[in-house]
Order: sequence, then C-alpha cells, then structure tokens
Amino acid sequence: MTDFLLELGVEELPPFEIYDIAHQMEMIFKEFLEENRIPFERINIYFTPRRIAVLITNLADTQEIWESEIVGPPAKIAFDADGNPTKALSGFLESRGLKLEDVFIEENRKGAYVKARMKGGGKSSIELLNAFLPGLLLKLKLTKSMRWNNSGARFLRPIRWVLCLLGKEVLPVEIGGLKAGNTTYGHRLKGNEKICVPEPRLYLKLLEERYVVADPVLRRETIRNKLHGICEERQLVWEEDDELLSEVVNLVEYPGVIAGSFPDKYLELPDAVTITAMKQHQRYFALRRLNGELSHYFITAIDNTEDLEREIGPNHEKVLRARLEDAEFYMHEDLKVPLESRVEELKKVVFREGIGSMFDKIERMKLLCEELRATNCNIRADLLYKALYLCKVDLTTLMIKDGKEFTKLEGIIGMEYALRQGKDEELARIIYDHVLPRFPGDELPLTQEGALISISDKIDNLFAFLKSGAQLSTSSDPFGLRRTLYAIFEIVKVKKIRFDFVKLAKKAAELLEVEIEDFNEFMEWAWKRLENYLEEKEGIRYDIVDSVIGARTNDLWEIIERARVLHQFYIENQKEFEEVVVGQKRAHNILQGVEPQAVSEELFEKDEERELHRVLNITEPMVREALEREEYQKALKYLRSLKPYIDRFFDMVFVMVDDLKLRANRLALLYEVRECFRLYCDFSKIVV
Amino acid sequence: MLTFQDLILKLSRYYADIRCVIGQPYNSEVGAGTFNPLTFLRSLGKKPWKVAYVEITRRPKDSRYAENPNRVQQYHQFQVILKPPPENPQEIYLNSLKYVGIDIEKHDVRFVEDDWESPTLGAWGLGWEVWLDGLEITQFTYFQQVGGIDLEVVPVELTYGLERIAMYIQNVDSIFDLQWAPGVTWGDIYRRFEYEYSVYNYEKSDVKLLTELFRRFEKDAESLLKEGILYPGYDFVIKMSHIFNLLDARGAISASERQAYILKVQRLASLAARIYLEAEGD
Repeated sequence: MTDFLLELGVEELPPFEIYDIAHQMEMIFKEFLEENRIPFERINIYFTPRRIAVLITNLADTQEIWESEIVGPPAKIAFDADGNPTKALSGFLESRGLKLEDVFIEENRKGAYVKARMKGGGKSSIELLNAFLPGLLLKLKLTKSMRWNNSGARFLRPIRWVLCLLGKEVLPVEIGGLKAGNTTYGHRLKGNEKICVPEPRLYLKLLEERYVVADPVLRRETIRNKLHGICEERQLVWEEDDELLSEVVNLVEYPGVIAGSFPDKYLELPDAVTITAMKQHQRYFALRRLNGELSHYFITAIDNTEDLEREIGPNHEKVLRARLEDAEFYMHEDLKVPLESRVEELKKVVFREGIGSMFDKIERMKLLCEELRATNCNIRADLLYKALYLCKVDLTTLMIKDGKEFTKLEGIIGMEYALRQGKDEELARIIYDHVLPRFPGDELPLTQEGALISISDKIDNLFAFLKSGAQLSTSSDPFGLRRTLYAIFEIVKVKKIRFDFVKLAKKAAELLEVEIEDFNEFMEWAWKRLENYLEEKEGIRYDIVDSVIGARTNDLWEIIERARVLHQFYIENQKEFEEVVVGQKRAHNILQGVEPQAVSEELFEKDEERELHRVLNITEPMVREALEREEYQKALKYLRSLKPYIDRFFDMVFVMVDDLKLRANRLALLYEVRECFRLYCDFSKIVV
Repeated sequence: MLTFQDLILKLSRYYADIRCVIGQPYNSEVGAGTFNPLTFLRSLGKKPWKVAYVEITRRPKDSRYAENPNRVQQYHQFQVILKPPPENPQEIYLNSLKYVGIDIEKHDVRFVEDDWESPTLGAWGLGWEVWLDGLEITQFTYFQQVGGIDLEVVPVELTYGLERIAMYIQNVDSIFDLQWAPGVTWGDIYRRFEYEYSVYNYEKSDVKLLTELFRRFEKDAESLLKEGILYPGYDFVIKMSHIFNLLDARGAISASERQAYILKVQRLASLAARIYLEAEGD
C-alpha cells in the first residue's frame, strides 16, 4: 500500500470555478478507483488559486482479482452442421482472447448461449494510473477553457507544472504537455523556490513551510476565525457572507487577514453603495457596529503575512477611498437634481429598441397598475402613482449610468436619493420595492404598492422581450424570462396580490401590440411555468397544478392556494385521493360528447340515483360558498363527502341502459356531479 | 524617486532586454493599446511577435475637468504582446515590477479573474486584473479571439496602467502630482489639456459633425478594406471607434443605437483582420 499524489500547478484559477473542478476531480478519481477495483483509504482534494492536488491514502498496489461470466453468441449459431465453430463464435473467442476449450454452453432465459468464465483484475496500480492519468483533462467539464501551448490541451488557465507520485516514485505521465515530476513551488512571493516532495504524505507540510495552506477548509477557517477575532477586539460584527468568504478563500494561498478603515464622511453614502464598493470591487468584508450601523472598518484577506500590515494596509485603504470618492462625486452631482425633474429625462432613456422610452414604459405600467388596483384593496393610490413616476428615475443618475460598478444598485439608489431629498419614507420604500425580487431568493416587496408596480414592470418586460423576438421555449433562458415570471408568482403568492392573470397579460400584450398568436403562446408557456414553479418551490405535483389551471379562475393566488390544498389532500390520504380521481375520470370518459341537460327526478329508478341527487343538491351550494369565501379546505371536504354516494351510484346503477330517456337522465346527473367537482378543479387531468 | 519617465524607460529597457521590439504609440486616438496595429494585427496568425510600447489612451467618458485625483480622460498604458506565450509569463511580469523597484515580496500581489473583452474589436481573452495591495495595476490576458478570428497561437497581452503604478511608487494621492521628470509634474503637462478636453467631450463636441464623420469614415474604411488596402482602411476603423466614444460621452447614443454602432466597428475590424491574414498567408 502506498499513497498517491497528483498536483497540477496552474496560473490563478477563477475562484468559484476551483470548487467545481475540485469536485469533478474527486468524482473522476473515485470512479476510476471503483471501476478498476483498486482498494484505497481516502481521496483528499486540496486546492489554492495556484494548484489542485489529489492525495489518495493507502492505495493498494494492485487491483482486486475477480471472476466474471461473459455471454457469447447463442449456441445455435455458434457451431455449424459439422460441429465446428462458426464465424460468430470464433469472432467472440478472438475478441476476448479465449480458446475453444475455455467456453461452455448454458441455458438462460433466452435460450442456450456460449459462455465463458473470465478472470479479471490483478493489474498493478501503477500500470492503471499510467494509462488513466494522461486523459484526465479530457474528462473535466469546463465552462470556459483555453489553450496555452501546442499540446492541444485545454484548461481554465495554463498548467505550469505537474507533480505525480506513487509512493516515492514519479509516475512517467504527461498531462497538458508537461512531464510529471516530484517538485512543486511554494508561495509566489514568500517562497517561490522549487520544492522537492519526496513522498505524498509530506506534501501539505512542505507547502505550509513555504507559506501555502493547500487545504481550503483550513484557509477558510483561518480567515473566518481571524475575522471574528478582529471583530471581537474592536466591538464589531461581521454578518456571515458565505459567498464572499468562499471567493476570498480562493484568492489567496496564505490566509493573511488585516483590518483597515475609511474616513467617516463616506458613511453618509448609502450603505449599499459603500458595501458594493467594498465587496464587489475589492472583496473586502464590510463590518457593522454592535448597534447595527455600518462601521468605517473593513477587513481584507491578503496573500501575505500579517506582519506586513503597515506596508500593505494603507494601500488597500487608499484604493477603497478612491472608489468611495467616485461614489461621493456621483451622489453629490446627482442630488443637485430633484428626482421629479428627472422624469422628463426618462423620455430620452431607451427601454428597448423599437419599443420606445422608459417613460413610455411607465405609462404602460400605469395602465397595468390601474387594472391591478381594481382587484386589490388597501392600495394607497396617491403613493402608488407618485412612486410609479419616480421608480425609474435613478436610471438617469450618474451613479447608475456612469458608475459601472454601481449599476446593480438600481432601485436602491432611487430609494436612497428619495430619502435624501426629503421624500416620504413609504414612497422611498415603494421605489425600492419595485425592483424586487431581483434574483431567486431575494427579498420581496414590503409594500402592496411596490408589489403592484413590480408585477406591472415585470409583465411589461416579458412582453417587451417577446416583442423584440425572444424565444419562449428555449431551455437556457438567456433573457431571464422564466426568472421574471417566477418573480411574479413569488410576489403573488407571498403578498397575496389578486388579479386575473389572463386579463392582465392580455392588457400588457395589447399595450405593446403583441400578436395574438404570440400572446397565446405566452399563456401556454406561462401556465406550464406555473406547474414547474409550484413543483420546484412547493413540491406540488405538476398534474395537480394542471388540474386547477383554467378551472373557473385565472387568479394566480387562488390557483396556487387551490393547488396547495389539493396537494395536501393527496399527501394526507393518497388512497382516497386516487379513488376520487378515478371516479372523476370514469365520469369524464362516460360524459365524452354529452351535452348538459336538466335532471328529472321522476326518471329516477334506483335509490342510489335519488340519494346522489339529493346530496348533490345540498352540497353543491356549500362548495360554491366555501370557494367564494376562499375556504378551499372546506370546499374540498364537501366534495369528498360526495364520494360514498358516487361510489354507490357507480356500483348499483348502470348508466348506459338501452332506455334512452333513462340513460340521458343518468348522464345528466353524472354531468352535474362532474360540474360540481369542476368548481374546484378538473380532477380528470390528474394522473393516477 | 522614480519619475514617470523613468518608469517608462525602465519598462522599455526591461522588455527590450527580453527581446521585445520597442514600439511607439499610435498616431491616432485610441481607447486602448490593443487598437494599435502592433497589437491588433500582429496578434493574428502564427508568426512570433514580441512588442512593448506606451499607448496614449483616450477615454472621453472619464473626463473629470481635472478635478478628480484618480480619473482622467487621457492616460498612458504600457502595452506588451508576447506571442507565442512564454512558459512563465507571470514570472516575467512580476520581475518587471521588481525591476521598476516594487518590492513585491512585501506586498499583496494577486491575479484576480477578469476575462477581457472588446466588442468593437471582436476580441476576447481569459486572464486577470493584477492587484497590488488591492489596486488594479495591470490587465493580463491570453487572447483567444481577435477580429472575430480564433487564435491558434495565443498571445499574452499585458497592459500596465502607468499612472497607477507611478502613483503607487511615488506614493502620491493625485495623478496631477506625479513627478513626470525632475521638477515637472503630470499636472504641469496635462492639467489644462484635461480640463479643456473635458469641456470638449461633455459640452462642445459637435454631435452632428461627429455623426457625419462616423458615417463617412465607415464608408471609407469599407471601400479601402474591400480593395485590400489594409492600413489606411484600418485607420478609419480606429477613427470610427474614437468617434463612437466621443458620441457616447456626449450622451448622444441611446442604449439601442449603442449596439448598432459597436457592430459597425466590429464588422470592419474583423474585415481588416481577415485581410491582414490573407496577405500574411497563414
């Protein structure tokens, strides 16, 4: 048993992609070892921006030996009339390196076949590794890759050295045009000399001596602990930011951590701006005071030792100061102009080619908001319309327009400037609300008005994209259409915004003069997405959603609620649920092509008919009322109470009797039953 | 004290010593050293090419009336092309920093992922921005495509921000305070230039004239290139790009027109690239 070590020395890899590559490497090696049945203790993956290493401990010297049975051609075509091997058999023997005496004939389910027992395995690990390693890079799935020499190899960035050891022995392999050796390099600045690694187990230790912490978990913990340490010392709080920490971990080989500060005056900038300057550009950790206010301290990881803080720290501070200075310049200039007088400028801001200006868009959003207002109460109309005209004006500010870095702060800047110009806090919040949610998992609008504007904005975006030729059915969603629609669903669900989705979409489509075929295609697509959405987010079966869609209501919130409650029923009592569905399916099948007709009590022959009709007449209004009151559980309960009567009806009454009058009456009764169920949803669409 | 001119001289010496041709800035306004034919055209094809030169770089949108200590509408890049790429380009680069007197061992030097792209030149590459104590001082790129053409031999492009590096070395807080030569500051040379060009870029440029010029340069570029007259044709492509930047700074280009302008430049830049390659025979 020996240890195995492979290290690819690279030029700095993109920080997030390292995680993915490391994971792929682990899987590839695991698969290789398992497939070849080479016993091992553990696969360890280490990485820094400049290296990825695979350390396998206690790897067996040889693979296991196994015996397996292989099946050849059917016996009847294996031998000719004289009993000599046919081509089919000799081909089989040849391909497996067998002799005639190695095979035997045995029956299996399909008949008699030629078979052989083969011994496999026993090859040395060295031999297998030597064959496997050269093809390693080809096994990786890379999003963006490059060539760097004439070996033809592709990787995320150039590979500069390869270290490959099995025990103390260098494996004679070539990866990416580089011959493997037993040397690595230390930290680029602190210990950039060649290091000879005599055996795999010394790898981490030797690197650590040269200022490289190759274990990402250790780097992460070190940075985290130092961060918290500094915070504790200075009475500050770091809000855990896993994404930033994960990135920073892969921006350094040595986890040095230092603190810095910026002049207090920049704290007057909106927090979001200051934090963006720190986090987005500089990958600094922003800190808060114990009272929650943003502090003027920041923490940064440096790829060097902390004793150099005095050399390095002031430079980092200077860079941040320049960024904040830029932001302050923008804000200072921007605040000279009242937000209201920017509205006019929106006429010059193009929304989308051929679709007019941002101002035009707002006019459309206004009409959509009016539509939404009609079905939602407690909307403060004055605030709504004021905010509507101001919500996009931050697009004309320097901060958003010219400050490349700060463009992501759309909405936030609108809110912050509104506050700084003495606007009502609620109004400011609505301005911010209107961009929410910006990405999956983002916060949702706080105000109902903000929710309305957000929905109107997003639905207008969808049709604008359609108008400019975006395709709905693509799986990759390059324009974020699916994401936009999901955002609407999310707002509706949480903020309980009520409206007829088809009506609103139609209005939005008309305002942009979208062709009717495109609109129809959109609706079809949108309903399908609702199925996906509820399946993804709530685990509701797509066919349950499908059964609710189009059943009496186009109100998204109601559809979602009905689907939820129905799903609950399915979860709680699968058997009964399925029986109800089966009953409705049966009714559905019998009723193919049947026209509605009044039920005549005189034509009832059997008690089961009479009984069902009587109960239905009592229950139907109750279902209706419950649905009107949006008591979906109740409505479903009433429907479920019909089940025994329906079951008995099906058991005892034959619908398709020869007597046409009788038959028509029974069909009419069944029709009424089905219509009653359809008040809730179309059960026949559910799959059982 | 290492002056601004010393920095240029030292970098030139360093790259001359590793056998780069020391080129000169292009005599037409460019937004980056990449536009210089010494980079744009010579990156194409398989022929080895090593060059280093200063580029005077115009960014009309960064006009700040000489009031911002960190932003100016014209600054200097030091541009290096190494084709084919050496085995140790990062080391070559880091040694150049040492050569100009930066004690990198005592600092925080990092290569932070930043994939570069120039839509007007139909060019992109993979690489980094190089940070020195958090300050972006260099763009380091392995070109993958130039003029819409996939590159078989991948050039390394190094673009040093000379002012930033000099500010770091001289430890000054404003570009204008940089010592260009003993007793002469950057501001002495460029303060009025910066102010007046800010006025021009933001207030005085003649949108009508520029729009017309763009149209006519486009026509000329196209007819020249179609006749296979490469350099004059490509010059007009460069001019188109600069005029686009001027119009953009003036706010005269709407978001929708923007893309159309870029595509016009890109199309002709790609044409120039193809013509260059045809003549080079590879």
